[in-house]
This record gives sequence, structure tokens and C-alpha cells, in this order.
Amino acid sequence: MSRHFTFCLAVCVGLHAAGFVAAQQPVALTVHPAKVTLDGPRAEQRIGVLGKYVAASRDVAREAKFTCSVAAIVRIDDGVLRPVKDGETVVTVTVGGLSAAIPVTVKNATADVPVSFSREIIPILTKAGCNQGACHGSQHGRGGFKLSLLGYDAIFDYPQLVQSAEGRRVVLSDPERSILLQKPILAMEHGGGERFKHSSREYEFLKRWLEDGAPAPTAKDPEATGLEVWPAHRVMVPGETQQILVKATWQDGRSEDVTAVAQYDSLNESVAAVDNNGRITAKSKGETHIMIRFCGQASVVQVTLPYARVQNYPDLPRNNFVDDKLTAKWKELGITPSPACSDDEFFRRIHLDTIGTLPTAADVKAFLADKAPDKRKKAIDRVLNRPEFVDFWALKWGDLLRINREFLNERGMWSFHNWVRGSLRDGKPLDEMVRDIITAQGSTFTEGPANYFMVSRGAAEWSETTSQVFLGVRIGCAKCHHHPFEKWSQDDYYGMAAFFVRLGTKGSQEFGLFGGEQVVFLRATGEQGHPRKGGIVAPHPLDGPKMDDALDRRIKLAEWMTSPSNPFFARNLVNRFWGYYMGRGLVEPLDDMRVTNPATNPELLDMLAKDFVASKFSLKHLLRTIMNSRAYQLSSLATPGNEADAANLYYARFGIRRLSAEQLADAIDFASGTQEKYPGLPLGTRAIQLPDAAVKSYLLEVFGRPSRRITCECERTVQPNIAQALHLLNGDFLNKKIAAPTGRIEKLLKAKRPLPEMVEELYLATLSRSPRADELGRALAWVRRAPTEREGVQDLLWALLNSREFLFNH
Amino acid sequence: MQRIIIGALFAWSICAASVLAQAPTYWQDIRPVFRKHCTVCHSAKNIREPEVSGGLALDTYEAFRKGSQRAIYLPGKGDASVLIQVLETKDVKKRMPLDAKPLDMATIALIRKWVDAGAAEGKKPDEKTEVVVRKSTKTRKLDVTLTTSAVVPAGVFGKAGGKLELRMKVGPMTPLTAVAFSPDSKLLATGSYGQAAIWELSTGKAMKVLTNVLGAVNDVRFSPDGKILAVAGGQPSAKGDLRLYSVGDWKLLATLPGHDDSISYLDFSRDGKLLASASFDKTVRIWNVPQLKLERILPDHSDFVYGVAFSPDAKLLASCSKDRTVKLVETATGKGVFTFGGMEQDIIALAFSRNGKQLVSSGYETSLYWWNTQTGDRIRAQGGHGVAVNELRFSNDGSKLVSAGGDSTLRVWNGTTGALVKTVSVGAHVYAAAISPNNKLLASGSYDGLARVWDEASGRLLLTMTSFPGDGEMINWVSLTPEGYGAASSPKLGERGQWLMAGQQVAADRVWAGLQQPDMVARALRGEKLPPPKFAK
Repeated sequence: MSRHFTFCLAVCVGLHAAGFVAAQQPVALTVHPAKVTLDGPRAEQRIGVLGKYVAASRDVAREAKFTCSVAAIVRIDDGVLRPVKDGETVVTVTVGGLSAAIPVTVKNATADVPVSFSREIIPILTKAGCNQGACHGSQHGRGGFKLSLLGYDAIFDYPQLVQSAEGRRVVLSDPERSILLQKPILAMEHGGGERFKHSSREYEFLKRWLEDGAPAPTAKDPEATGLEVWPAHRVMVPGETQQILVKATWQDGRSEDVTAVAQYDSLNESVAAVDNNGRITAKSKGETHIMIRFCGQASVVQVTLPYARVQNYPDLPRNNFVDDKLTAKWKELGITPSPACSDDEFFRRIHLDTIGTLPTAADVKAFLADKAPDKRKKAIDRVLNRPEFVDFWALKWGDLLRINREFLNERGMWSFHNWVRGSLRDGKPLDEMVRDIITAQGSTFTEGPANYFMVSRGAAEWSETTSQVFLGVRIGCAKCHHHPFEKWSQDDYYGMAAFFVRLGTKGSQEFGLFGGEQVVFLRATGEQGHPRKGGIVAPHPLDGPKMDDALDRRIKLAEWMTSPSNPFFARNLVNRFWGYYMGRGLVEPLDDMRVTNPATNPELLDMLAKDFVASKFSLKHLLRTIMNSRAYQLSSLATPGNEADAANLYYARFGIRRLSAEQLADAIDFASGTQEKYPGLPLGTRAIQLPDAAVKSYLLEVFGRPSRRITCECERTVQPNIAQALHLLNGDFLNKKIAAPTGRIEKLLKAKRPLPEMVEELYLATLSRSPRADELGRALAWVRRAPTEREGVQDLLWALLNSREFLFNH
Repeated sequence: MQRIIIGALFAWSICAASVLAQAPTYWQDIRPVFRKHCTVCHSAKNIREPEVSGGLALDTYEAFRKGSQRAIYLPGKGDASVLIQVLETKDVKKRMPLDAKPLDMATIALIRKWVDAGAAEGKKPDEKTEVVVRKSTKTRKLDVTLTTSAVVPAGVFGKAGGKLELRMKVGPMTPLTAVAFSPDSKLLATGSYGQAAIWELSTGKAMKVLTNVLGAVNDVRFSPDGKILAVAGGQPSAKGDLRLYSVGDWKLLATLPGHDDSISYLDFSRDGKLLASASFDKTVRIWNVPQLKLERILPDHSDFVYGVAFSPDAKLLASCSKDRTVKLVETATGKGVFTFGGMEQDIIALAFSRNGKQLVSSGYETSLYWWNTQTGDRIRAQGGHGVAVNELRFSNDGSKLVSAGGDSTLRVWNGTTGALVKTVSVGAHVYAAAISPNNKLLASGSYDGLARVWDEASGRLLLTMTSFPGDGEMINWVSLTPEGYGAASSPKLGERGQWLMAGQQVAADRVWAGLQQPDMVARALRGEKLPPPKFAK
């Protein structure tokens, strides 16, 4: 059914070769679907026709002529086939001298099949917007009439429509008098305005359903299980249009064209718009996706409008597979990458990204002096082996796992923090680390990962956190209703919760009556109930089969999660680390991976995940792969060849970003040669070593350190605010650091180093590079004009610390 | 060039002339626009809710002229009128319709033209024409089946025998939403969409079918002296319809206008002087029955009012609402006495106990809540149907309480202790319930469009009744006992339906000849055990 038959006439090809093809003559036709079965009196099938022309393809369905070999079997209106009577026929589609044949079978054309509430009515209510969050789908309904949000609960909706409020909404004996029909066509006042017209498809279906006696849904009604969209991807030019076709499959094996009732939304309206009927209009250059939803299922169609047509695309150097995948995308989009970055930029980057620490002046100089062709590769290996690697990534995992003394109390917090540090120090593969967390039990004081179950509480929260942190899937919506943009239902939600339902926590007095130790333990029994349908929900992971384990259900979950074939786990992790290194995730937000939020380069995401699995989930291997790619080593400056991609979605240049709060605090300390004293911790403890966010620091607060209260990458912010600028520009914070008696400047002065050397060291300590000749000249002139040399170099350091080059990883 | 301008001027002058010839008017041109875009908020029924209407109603010409705090238009000066300004402003927080697309240019131009020309009223369409019930054009195609326990012996209609059932192509039926016994227990009034039927319980015949009621009949009530039948319905979101008929000759005594939405429930005071009506328009109205006038409007509920009941001495009036409260007020003053809250779902039904000391309420909050009307305390919350309770009625002596449940049962409760006495399975979502004043019969009205009468003592089904449109203006009706005996609006009706014997169609005329026996129906309603029907070979 889904295969496309491509018909190509040799004669056309011949003409093409001769160069005589008129612009409007297609060289091939693709029709979809290849074969049609119309089952039931209200079945319909839209026919998609794609014409292949010399330079590109386009939708030619509107120009196509449809003819039928056996008359009176089907009706064809505007490219849509509808049944007339049972039988078989062949519909021939003709465009510009080419034609394609579609065999059509019609069944039950005149059968009296009552309208199905769940299959035919709910989609109409959803598409008309009746049950959306702002209308009758809101928590308290509207105007006394409440429906389930986006129609996820047909069993709830039915009595609301037909029986509640003394049945006032319908008149079964005279359907057209029902306010259910009169309000949406505005024959009566309706707060929601006109939703559809008299005699429209929606109106007729609802009317017919009422005439059929408003047959009720049952709990056994088949649910939609999948969507198939056509075409999956189109490369288009501004102004061009394309009709989408949507096929839904149902639990009972039925599949049908739902193009007329699916909902369409463009993820980026400025690139391509889509109308209510699924017709895309390409608008401006870029790439976007059209989101298609139907009965709790979702899918996307990709639309690409190349930025330019690059003749003779340059032969780009490549370091590894990352570059191959990116280059393929750049070619499709017509963008070219920025040139490679300089050695000093590269060296600063790998230090900030891998260990959150600026390189020393000596290291920078040694690296720049190194003439070995593979010096970047070697530098990457060196930085991966620095001890600060443990500090920096323990910080990141602390954010993700929300290691926080408010939830865990202080000893539990340290226990968890130290366990994470140990895992990183040992180079524990990430699958193993996650397995240890998911299956942890015992004392929160001695078993670090057991604290995972103290941060969030209860089976529901544990399943939500686990899904979001380790799988990148937000299932929270499905606790109460079907996820509006996803396929996750309450069944999926509680299937995940069922893995944790036997887990409990209790206080212990091992460390005294108020010792605060908690114990995470397993009960032998316990089942997860379904709040709406009732009954027990068997444990089953997202998109996975039912599974159970006599000892501990979580073992099965952990095995499923970390299995090499798991579709979420590796993709989630590589997307996060890619995002940390490249400034933007392939999927953004990093922890919102879903069909309707597709990656900007899905092939790269898949390949990174595959490589990560092949490395046995080695974090350092992944980071090494990313850093060794040429993409990571590109300049951050835009070129005419890639500036059109303003958001840098395709990584044709390095994505600049402000230093994180901890990177910045440590960089200021490093540059000024001081050491911030963090309360409750020994002097010498760096910002990247702090165990949680309860350690007070105004600088860290202002620059967006997350408080680790919510499971979301968004809790850490790089948003600018006025307090940041004031703190650095006007506050006495920097002045004190710069003038510290044991600080870098005082040491330099004490050592009586020549001024040009002092200037160079200040540049190296802040910007990780030597000053250019013009910079050196201006700096020297400035310092010499200052009342004293001390004041002059202090001002220089102040200026460097407030420069964008210092504040940004570029 | 000059010629073009002259031509244009000429054309314009023709336009202007034609505009003057037919200046827009409120009723002919503007009201339809307001109806489509404005009156869902700016209507008389929303005036009491300024956060919705802003104190402005546009659904009558008088209300439009009145404006809100001040006039919204200056006759002859469209551009200076607030009405035009709010349609055209670029400030989306002020632009009307709020949170919607602005009106198109042509529509705004029409309104401006109307104001510029003085905002004339025009001729108000005759209201009666709006109310006239349009004849149904619908073809009825679904089967409604009345089953019996009558078994035809072998050899009567063919070799084999079997159970009889009557199948009629008259569905889908509208729900039967109201039942009421007359004070002498001799009549049962029922209500469904657009009609009320009065059944004579001695024969099972519908002695009268009142048609032309607007919308679904949500309640019917006999006055305590048995002389008046009140019938309540209405068009949802438009107007209520409350009619008083004279029992016996069934003349329309009065229509009591005023409700802005359909009426959900009625109650007569015990002396028959007052009638209370609860409505989806969020109000309760108290009517003076002898004088046929409105006594008082109680606007205290914030959502649909589903039920209303007078205390036996009529000093208090209770009402219950979708707003999840039960309110008790003094009938004479409308002053609040108690508001019973603490429930999380709609309250659909309520009833006063015979001694007036207790009030029972229920609804989607499925337990039966018993309240002390003197102290305002909740006495107990128990029982219920697990799903919606649609109606609660005490027996005349107060010993029993019957409830109509969404679980397709009637339940009878001890009127003092609240204990469950019996459950009667009806077979479809039950909307209406009643106990006959002589305590012998129960009646139910349900989603399947059928009214049923039950023996109170045994819970046995005695008679099933239904009515539906027939040829022309005719309303057909049929009633059938479980034994198969029946009555119908015309002798032909029982023959026109399909009679099935063990699933096989049999000759309707011969079947009906054996079943149409009024005396047997009468005996059935007296609770007698009936002999099986006999059929001529």
C-alpha cells in the first residue's frame, strides 16, 4: 500500500536527454497510494500526485485528470475518491502526457454502518477545536459543557454530549435541532464562534451519528495505533504548495485515509505554513516540519527550502562521521561552513567544555608552539584525562539527578555526590551507572544512588523523572490526559509507574532518632492501578512489551533502558552531550525528544547513538568523537555561506555561548589569581566542585546556577539580566579580586615583570591567547597614561574581565 | 479621464440612492450580526454578570439603545460612536469581539451605515413565528422493540411457538425525561421532546398528548388539587417554555414567559398557590399560580439550576445547581438561609422530606446527602447509584424516597433512615422517577424514550408506554404489559409494527387482535396476575 509506483516514460527521458523538454512537462509521476480500498459508505481516499521535473519535483494533483475504468464505482471530487457501489475499478491519473493507474476496490459502499463515536466523531470534535484546552477541553469545561482534552476519553465524552444536563445538547428524534449542531454553525450564539458550516463534512457526520441513534463508544473500541504521512519530506521553493496525505491504522487492523480529519500545525510558520486541510505553502528559506495529529497519534512531514543553490559544492575536509552527516545536510540546504578556528580558540574551547577550566598560560604557549599535525587530537586526550573532568561532569550529573541537600539532607547529598564522582573517576560506562541508579536500594547514607528515590517521591514521579532524565521523554502530561503532541497515553504512563510501584522509603534510626537516614526498600507485592479505566496496569516501558521480574521489576526496566537496541537511551545521552559541546542540541530542548520535535539532523543523531552504543556507552569516547570532529573545530564567526541560518541549527559554525555560572566564577578566580571561599567548604574548593546549589554564592545565583528543584535542563539559564552586568561592571566584587594582595596583579608587580610581559600574561589568563600587536600597543599606552602602573594594569584586567571575549565560549 | 470621474460619481449617487431607499434596521440587518458575533456575551441573561457582558445587552433594540453605563452610539454619527470604535480599534485588548478575529470591513461598514442613518429599529419579527415547532423532516429508521413474556403456543402461527415482541421503526427516540402522577393516582403525565402525554392508568391509554411544547420537556407536574398540569421545557440557550394546562379539557391556561434557557425542574407549593421553576438560565422563578404572575426571581446560583423544591409549609425553597451547591432561601423574601456546599460535582436532584426537617440532594456527587434544614448540618451521605442521580422524590406520606439513576435503575430508600429498600432495574439511563400518591406504583422515564410503571411493593413491571410522531400532526402511542396486553392510539398501530415470534415475523393483525384488551391492561395496573393471551387460529 505504501510503496509508490513510479511511472516513467522512456520517450520523455529521451526528449530530456535531447534537451527539448518543456518546463511544464513532468518526466515522471509518483502517485500515492498505489492501491486503494474503500470500505464502508463514508470511506474516502485522497490521491497524491507528485510530478518529477528536470530540476525538482512538485505537487501536480490539482492539474491531474482522473478517469475511471468502470463507471459508477467511485466518485472523484477534487482528487478524493469516494465509494458509489461495490466493485473494482482502475483510476487513471494523467498529467502532462504521463499517466499512472491505481487499482481501486470498493466494499460495503451502501451498507448501513452506524457512525462510530470513537473513530469518526471524536476526530471531528478534536479537529473543530471543541475539546481544546481553551474551550470545552479545559479543566472545568466551557458554558457548562466539558469534554476530555483533545478527546482522549471517549467514554467520558459520550454522556457529556448525549445524556448530561438532561440530554439538552442533542435531539435524537430530530438531529438538526440539537444545539450540538446549531451552536458550531452559529445558528445559535456560541462563545467559541463558528467551528464549521451547515452541510459541511463535520456537520453531516455529526448529524448522521445522531440519526443513527448516537451509538455509544465502548471500552473495547479500537484505538489508533499509528500514522503514515505522505510525502515524508519535500524540498520546495517559496510559493509552492504540497498536499499532505495521512493514513491512520487502528488496533483492529483497519487503516484509512484521515487527511480530512487530521490536524496540521507548522513548527515554523515563517518557513512553511499549512492549512486546515493539510496543504503546505512554502514561504521562506530554511527547514521546518509540519506536525500532523490524529486520535492521539502524531507524525511530521519535513519541508526544506534550500538557502541557496551552491554550484560545485566545495570538497570539505572531514575528520570523522560527524562531518559527513553535517556536510550532507549543508549540501541539501545550500550552506557552507565557516573556516576552522584558530589553535588558541580551539584550546580554550576544549578546556571550558571538558573541564570547565581555563587553560594555563604555559599550556597555551606550549600548545601553540607544538608543530605536530595531530596536536589537537593529543590535546583532546590530555584534557579528557585531567582531574577536573570528574569535578565538571559531577556538577552536570548533579544537575540532572537534582542532588540537593534540601531533598536529601546533607549526608544523603554527600553520599550521592561522592558516588557520582567515583563513577566518573572510574570511567564507569553510562549504562552501568544508570543501571546502578535505577535499581538502587538501601541506606541513603551509604548507598549513594539510593538517594535518587528521595529526590522525587512515589511511583508516578519516579517514572516521570526516569523517563525525562534518562530517556529524554516527557510523559508528565499523560498522567491525566493523553499528551497533546505525542502518542503517550495514560496506559503508557502507568505502565512506567508500575515498575516503581513496589518501591518504598522509610526512616531509620541507625544514626540516632534524628539521624535522618532513610532506607529505600522493596515490597513483595503491590500493583499500579489505572485511575480512569480501573484495573491493574502491568509494567511495560514506553513502546515496549509487558515485562515483570519476581525479584525487582526495576531490573527489567534498567535492562530494557540500557539495551543497545533501546530507541531512547543512547539518543537522549548523545543529544545532551552534543548540546553541551555545540551550544544547541540536535533536538532542542535537550530533554524533550518526541516525534513532533524532530532533530535538525536525525541521521547524525542516529549515528552518534550507534557509535556511543558501540563504544559500550563510554562518555569519554563520545566526547572525543565530538571534539575531534571538524564541526566542533569551526570558527564561531558566520560567513555569507551560512549566516542565513541565524540560529545555527545546522552547525555550519561553532555555537557561541556565555560561560556557565560555575565556569565564570572559576575563570574570574583564575584570572585574578584569587580563590573564592565557599561557605562550609575548605578554602580552595572551586565552583565546579560544589556539591549542590545550597552553597551560597551571589555570582552563581545571578548567572543562572540551577537550584536543582525541577527535572529540566531549562532550570540552568544563560539568559542575560541587568544584575549580571552590574555585578561585573559596578560591583566591588571584581575590584576586590583584582586588587587582592595575593592576587595575580600584586604578584606580577612584586616580581617586577616588564609591562609587556604583564600585559601578555593578563591576556593569556583571561582570553587564553596573547594580545595582538595593536592590542598590546593600546594596552601599553593605556597603562602608561594611568596615574600609577598598579592602577593601569588593574584597569586593564577589569576591562578584559568585562570583555565579551572573556565572558563567552567562542 | 473626466468622463470616468463623472461616471464614477454617477454610479456612487445610484449607490447612495439605493442605500437611502433601504437603510439598514436593527431587526432586519443588525440583529443577525450581533447574534453571530456579540450576543453570546452581550445578552440580557448575562447582564447580571458584568465580567461577561460588561453590563451591555444587544439582543433587544431597547437594550441596545440603553447601552451599558452610557449610550454606545450617537445617532447619525457612526465614527463618533463607541460601537464602531471598539470594532475598529487596533488595541486587541479593547477590540470586539474579544479574543476573536475582527469583523470584516463590509460588516463594520454596514453597522456604520446603520448608525449614520439613525440606527432605526425596523420591524420586530413576530415572536410567535420563532416558537412554532417546525415539522420534523427526519425519517425514522431505527427499531424500537417492546418485549413481552407472552408465549404463543405451537401450532397457532405456524408449527413452532415462541415469545412475542413488537418492533417498530420509530427510532431514535428522544429520552423520556419527566413523569408525574396525578394527586388521585389515576393519571400519569410524561414528558419527552416537544410533547407531554397523559396516560389513564385504568386503561393504559394516552388520554391526551400535548404537543407544541418548545424543546425537551424536562418536567411535568400536577397541581396539588389536580386541576392544573404544568409542563416545562424550552429551547436550550434561548428561552424557557412553561405552560399551564387545565386538567380534563387540556386547554392551555397560560404560558409563563421569562426564563432565558430551558427549564429543568418544577415544584408546586402544597397549597397550590406557588409554582417554582428552575432553569438552565441559572435562576429560579417563583410564580403566583392564581394570578398567573411572576412573584420573584432568585438569581443566586452561578450555573445551571437543576432542581427546586418547596418545604411542606412553603416557607422555604431549596434549589440545587451545577455550581455544586444547594441553596435554601425564605420563599417570601428570597433571603438566604443556608448554602450547603462541600461537594465536588454537579447537584442534579433534591427533595424535601415530608416533615420539612430534612432535605436530600444528589447528582454527579453520587451519594445521597441528607441535610438538616434547621441547623444546616449534613446528617449523612450514603447510598446513591454510583453514577448520576437524576431525580429524587418522596412519597406523599414521606415513608419512601425514590431515586432515578444513571446506572439504569430506580432505587427506593427508607424515607427516615435513608436505608436502601429495593432496586428496580429499568434497562436504560433513568432520568425521571415518581411514586404514586397512593403509594402503590412507581414510574420511571428513561433514555430509551419509554415510560414504565412498576408495582411499588414487588418492583414488578406493570406497563411500558411510549409515544412518537405519526402521520401528519398525529402523535401515536402504544402501551404494553409484560404479558403482552396492550393499547394503542389506533387499532392499526399495533398492526403496523412488526410482531416477531421467537425472531420470526408473524401476522400482526392476528397477534394484535389477541392482545388489544383494555380490561386486561386495567387489571395489570391493579397489580393482578393475568392469564396468558389467547390467539385465534
